[in-house]
Amino acid sequence: MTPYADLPEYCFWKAGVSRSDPLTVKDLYQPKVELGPRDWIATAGSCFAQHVAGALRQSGYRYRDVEPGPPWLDQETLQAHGYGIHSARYGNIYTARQLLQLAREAFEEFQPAEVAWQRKDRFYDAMRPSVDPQGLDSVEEVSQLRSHHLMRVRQLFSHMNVFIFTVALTEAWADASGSTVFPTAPGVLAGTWDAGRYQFVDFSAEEILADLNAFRELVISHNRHFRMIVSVSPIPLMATATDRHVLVSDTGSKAALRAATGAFATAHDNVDYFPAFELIATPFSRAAFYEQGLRAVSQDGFDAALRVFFQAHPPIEGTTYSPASAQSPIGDGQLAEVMAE
Amino acid sequence: MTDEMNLAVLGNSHLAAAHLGWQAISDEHQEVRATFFGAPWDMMKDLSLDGARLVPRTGRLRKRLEKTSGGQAFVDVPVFDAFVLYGLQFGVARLLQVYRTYRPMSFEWSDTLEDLAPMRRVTAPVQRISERLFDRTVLAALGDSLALRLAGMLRQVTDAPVLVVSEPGFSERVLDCGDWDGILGSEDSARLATRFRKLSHRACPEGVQLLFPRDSLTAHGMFTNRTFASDETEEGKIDSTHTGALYGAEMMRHAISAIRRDNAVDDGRNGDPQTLLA
Repeated sequence: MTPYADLPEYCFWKAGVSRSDPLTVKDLYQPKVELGPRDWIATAGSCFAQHVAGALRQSGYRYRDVEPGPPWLDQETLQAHGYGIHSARYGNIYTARQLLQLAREAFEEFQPAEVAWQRKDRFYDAMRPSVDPQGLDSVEEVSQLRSHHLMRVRQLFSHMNVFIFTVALTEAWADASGSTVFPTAPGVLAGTWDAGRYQFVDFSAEEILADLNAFRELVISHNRHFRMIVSVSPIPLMATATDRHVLVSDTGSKAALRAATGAFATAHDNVDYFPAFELIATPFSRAAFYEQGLRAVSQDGFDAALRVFFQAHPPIEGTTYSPASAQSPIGDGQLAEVMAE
Repeated sequence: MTDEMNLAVLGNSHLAAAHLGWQAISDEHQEVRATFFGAPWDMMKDLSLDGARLVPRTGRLRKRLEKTSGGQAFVDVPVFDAFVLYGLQFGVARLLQVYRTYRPMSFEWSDTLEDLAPMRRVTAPVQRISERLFDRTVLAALGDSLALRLAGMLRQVTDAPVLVVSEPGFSERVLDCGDWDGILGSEDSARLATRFRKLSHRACPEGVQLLFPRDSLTAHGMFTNRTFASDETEEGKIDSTHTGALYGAEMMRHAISAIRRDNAVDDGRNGDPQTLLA
């Protein structure tokens, strides 16, 4: 006898991986957070959370979108303005610190060091510079629209039941004091790069875990029904601001994110970890779920992840999940903002 | 164009006022032969181009066209010298549909419109959006109106004048209940009226004329002066959406005048209001 003798097959590499197929794999995800037809589900983060939003809607779950787009606009325009991607127009949230900042700002516990960034004669919300691609007329308009957005985010965090968050990055840019982390580097979409005003940060696993814990504690203090599913984006870094090779930085980054999210889920009964990263970014898939360039995840990859998700959280009675019709409203393009040249 | 004019007037339920008005003033324009093609609500969405004809895709619409035109089941475009697209969702109500959920910060009123008569339908919370996105949304909403869709179809097959007559605003009588005080008090109504005219011109395809009601027909910029509103009642309620024969007569007079002048745009502000009640 050994301690492994009574373990299920999926605990063994040969059965769970070598002889398994990522398109049909079973037992990869055994959720402790249940989803039900009465739950209000919200999403934030990057790629997987975007895809799961559309699929949840089609699967009969109640998906909370507190900032739906004007129905007269075409899909392309809506997406370009940050509509229909997540549960509010916060754009992509790449780091755990960014998520914590957003929640603290929504609950009036935090004020960013900078609210508006300028490009030519237009002004952009420094905390979500992609959602108004043509910019706004004034700093005042940025500030007013941000206040309105934060009111909606506060409503979202106060009334959702399940929050699905995909964390993507450890590297980010902060103001000189380190009090505010931005979703993009200054100067990429708006703002001006100034080495004296901004600093590079690379969050450790401990810092990420602390941020996730702080986020959970804050939201749960306003919403006792709160549960959370976290995942790690399988999309690699576009570039690193460290002096390491990008592959080394990316591996370190994903390892930190994976360690933090795993520890976060282990520590709390109301937090789960969803293994999209394992399905797509490990030897299991033999890189088959990446497009040419080995960075963008293919639709097949997202479909495979969603299949695993809905295997564990079956569509509500009377609906079915169809991967072909569960196309995400957006690709991973926005991730490129983060570390763009 | 000769003095003789074969005019096609296409519209939704607002066409009734134009038709009644035309009956009252047709003697003034004996050289104009007007044929009315009407169908309520958005039924005209089932009209499509078949060669140089606008044909109904449904039997329901065909019956409406036959009934209102005196037997014509389709619009034979080359037969007509000019076209008036009356109402057909192109109006300030379209802007209000956007405004009741999506407003830029320059619009001061922050409440929802869920309790506003006669718009008691939507309960979505107000979303604040940028000035540019608001304009873009309104342009898309106006561009999607039946009037502009039909104007686009007509432009594909004819160079004849096409005139869009904007849909009348709600009757000034809706203000009596006080529901609209917030919009009036914040002066958002004036902002909406100004924005509507500005964006209407941007939404309108090249070569299509626009016609707005003269100032004397309106109240607070975006409502219809109560003198010109419909006297009809529906299920015991006053009809606040439609206008009467007097309004229709004035708009038809104005439309024919605009087509005759063949002006690019007539914004309705140059007329003499004293002639309206003549």
